[in-house]
Amino acid sequence: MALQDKHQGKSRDSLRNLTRCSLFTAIALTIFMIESRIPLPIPIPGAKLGLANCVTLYVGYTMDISSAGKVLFSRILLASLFAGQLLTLLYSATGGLCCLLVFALVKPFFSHGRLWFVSPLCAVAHCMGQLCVASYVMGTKEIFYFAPYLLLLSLSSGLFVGIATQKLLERQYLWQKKTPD
Amino acid sequence: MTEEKQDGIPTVVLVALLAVVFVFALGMLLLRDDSEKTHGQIHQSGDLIAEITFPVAEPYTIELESQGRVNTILVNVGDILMEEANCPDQVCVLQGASNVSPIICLPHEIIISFSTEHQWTGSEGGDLDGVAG
Repeated sequence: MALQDKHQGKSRDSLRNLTRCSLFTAIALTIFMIESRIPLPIPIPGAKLGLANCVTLYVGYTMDISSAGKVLFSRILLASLFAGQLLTLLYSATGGLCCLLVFALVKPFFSHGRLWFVSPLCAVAHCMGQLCVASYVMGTKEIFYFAPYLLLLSLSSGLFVGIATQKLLERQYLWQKKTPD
Repeated sequence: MTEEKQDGIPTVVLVALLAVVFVFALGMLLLRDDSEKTHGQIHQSGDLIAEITFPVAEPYTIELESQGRVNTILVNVGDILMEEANCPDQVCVLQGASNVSPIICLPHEIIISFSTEHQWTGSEGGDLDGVAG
């Protein structure tokens, strides 16, 4: 009986996890769709604001890295389907993977109070990964001409996303009167 | 509440790290060779499709079509621009005419790059091998 209860509890937990991940993916997709309507002032290939990564960071800090990964990759796949940019899926996916790897590596060393630092770090990793795979696929180094622009953009948008998520988490912990991990 | 969590690496070091990346990017931007180039190369998926030597006598267009990807490149007297592309993002079209910064179409893997010397070892002047429109 006890075993059955435990089993039920476990499946309930995984169900809750799945539901939360789906919800967060939906939120991330919504943010992505709104973001894709914002035109960038300068046309740079591969440039994006990446506001949807607020959700990834949030999930990474409130749940765990694997959930963050699930949300991130579901979002990337669905977003490229919705935006009709399946051709650039490879770049987004590699960028996402680099970003997630760096996130997983540095997360143990930084509390949520340091998100303003973690986020630009991930953003820079994302942009570098994307550039490397693009230069590999296209067989040219020319694409690195845009590296400084992409670097500056990812630094600033990463900083913005990081601070936004940090504020969100701080407010949530304050509201829950809970000590952050 | 978060004060006791702020241990570990001092904030100053983290700010400095970000600043280093920022300065690095800015430096790359400033130290870049932005002089006007004399040759233009058009690559698709890593293959050199055409090489143009400026100035061109008369403007012409190049149609690139493969697997439903259509790009129209306009070669002007002194620069090149992507006139039309059927990709969703249109970044290459928005980049406009250039003879310095490369024009890149990520979804169609097209790169129009510029240099001061020939890259094609083929025929002199490096016009087109049957892709001219």
